[in-house]
Amino acid sequence: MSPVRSTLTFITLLFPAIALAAVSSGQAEALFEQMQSALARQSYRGVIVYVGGGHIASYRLVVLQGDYARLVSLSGPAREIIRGLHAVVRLRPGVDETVVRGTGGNSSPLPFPPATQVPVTRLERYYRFALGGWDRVAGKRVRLLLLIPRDHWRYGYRVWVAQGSNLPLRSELIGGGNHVLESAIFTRIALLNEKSAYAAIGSGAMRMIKKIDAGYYPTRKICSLRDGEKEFKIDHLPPGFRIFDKVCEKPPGAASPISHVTVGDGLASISVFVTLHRSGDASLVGAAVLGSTHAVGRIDGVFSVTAMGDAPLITVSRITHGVVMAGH
Amino acid sequence: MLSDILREQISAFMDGELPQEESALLLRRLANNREVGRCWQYYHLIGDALRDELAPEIARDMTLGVGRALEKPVARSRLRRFTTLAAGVAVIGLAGIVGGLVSHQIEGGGKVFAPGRGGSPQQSILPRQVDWRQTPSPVQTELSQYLLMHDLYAPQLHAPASPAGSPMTSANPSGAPHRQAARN
Repeated sequence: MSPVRSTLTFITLLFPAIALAAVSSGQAEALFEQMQSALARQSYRGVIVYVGGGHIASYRLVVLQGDYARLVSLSGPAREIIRGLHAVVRLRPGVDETVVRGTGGNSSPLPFPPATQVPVTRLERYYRFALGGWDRVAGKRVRLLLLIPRDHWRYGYRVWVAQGSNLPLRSELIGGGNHVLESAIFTRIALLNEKSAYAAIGSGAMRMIKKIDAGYYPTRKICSLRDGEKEFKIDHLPPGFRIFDKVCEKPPGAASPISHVTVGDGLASISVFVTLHRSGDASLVGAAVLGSTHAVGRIDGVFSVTAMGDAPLITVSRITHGVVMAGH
Repeated sequence: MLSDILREQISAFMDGELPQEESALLLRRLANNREVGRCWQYYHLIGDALRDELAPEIARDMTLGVGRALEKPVARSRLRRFTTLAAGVAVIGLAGIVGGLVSHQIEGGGKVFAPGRGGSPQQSILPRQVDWRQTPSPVQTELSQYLLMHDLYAPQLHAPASPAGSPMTSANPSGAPHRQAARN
C-alpha cells in the first residue's frame, strides 16, 4: 500500500473512530446525569451487599424520593441508620441513639459511590466517562458506566445503571491494576410510590426523623486547637482537589480539640485531622491501609497530622505532607 | 465437590444471614476457590429463576440446556461461558479486595507508630503502608475515631460545590453509612 493510500485509509478509519468515541462519551455523561436525577427523585426499596475493607455486609435500604432513607443491617450486629433532610440517626440496641446533624439535602441517599450531585462538567476534568456493555443486576438490565481517572491521583469507578429507572444497581471502586477495592451491589430492588416508601421506612421512624429535622441547628462550632493558635494551611493539593470544609470540634472522649478539614475532587474525599500531640500520645506516623482507605500521619512540632480517605496512597501522603502549621 | 455446609454458608451469605466471622472466611474461599465462585454464580442464577427474574436469553439457555445440551453443544457452551466468566469476575474482584489487605511487617514500636520507609525509589517517596488493624491498639482507636468523623462528614463533597474556601452549605453526612456500620 502506498504511503498516500495508507494515510488516507488511516484517516478514513480514524475519523469515524473519533466521532464514535465522542458520541459514546457524550452518551456516558448523559447517562451519569440521568442517574443523578433518578437518585434525587426515585423512591425504592432494596437489599445491598457491600464488600470492602475486609468486611462483607448486607443491608436493607428504603429511600423516599431521595430525601429520607432507612438502612438496616442484615448481617453482623443489629444497627440501622435513618436519614432525614438535615439529620442522621444511628441506632444500635442498648445504645442511645446517635444524632448527627448536617445541613443536608443535595447529596444522594444511596450508600455507595459515585452517588454524587456534583455536575458532570466539573467531574469530567478529572474523570473520563465511557460506556461499557450490558449486563444484569438484581434481575434488571443494566449498562456499565466507567469513570476513568485522568491521572494517578484518584481511583476509578465502575457503575451499572439500570435501564428505565436509571438507578445505579452496582458499583465498584477500582484501584491500580484494575483491582476492585470496594464493591456494592443490589441483590434486590423495587421501585415504590411515595406512600409505599413512607410505609416501608415506618411511620414511627419518619415521625422521629422529621421531629429531629424540625429542630435542626448547626452543632459544629469553629474552635481553636490551642488558645491563640493560628490556623494551618494545606499547600500543594493534588490537581482537582480543593478544600470544602474546615471545622474544629472536640468529640466525646477526645483529649484535645481536633481540626478537621475535608478536601476532595467531587468524588474522592479525604479528611485531614490536626490535633495537639502530647508526649506519650498514640499517633500514626507513616501509612496504614484498610481496604481502599489510606491513612498517612506525621508529627509536626506539637501537632499530630493525619490524612485519610479513599484515594491512592500518593494522594493521601501528599496532602498530609502539604499541611503547613502557622509560623513554620 | 463442595460440602453441604459450604453450600449452606453460601446460601446464608446471599441471604445476608451468615455471621460476620463466617462471612470473612467464605470471602477468602471465594477468592481462592473457583468451584466456590462457580457455586456462588449458580446460586444467583437459581435465585433469579425462583424470583422469575432470569433474563430471557439465560432462561432460554437453561431450558435448552436441560433438554438438548448434548445435541446443542453451542447452547451449552454459551451458558458455561457465562457462568465461568461471571465466576471468574467475582473471584478476581474478591481476590483484589483480599489482596489489598496484605500487610507488611511492622517496624515501629512504642507509642508513636512508625512503619518506616521502603527501599525502592518510589517507596522512598511514599511511606510504606501497613494494615492498620495491625497497628498498636491506641493507634487503631485514634484511626477509628478519625474514620467515623471522615465517613460522617466527607460525603458532603458529593453535594454541589460551594464557592472556594467557604464552608459547604449543603452538607449531608449520610453518604457512606455502610462504612460506618461495617467498621463499627
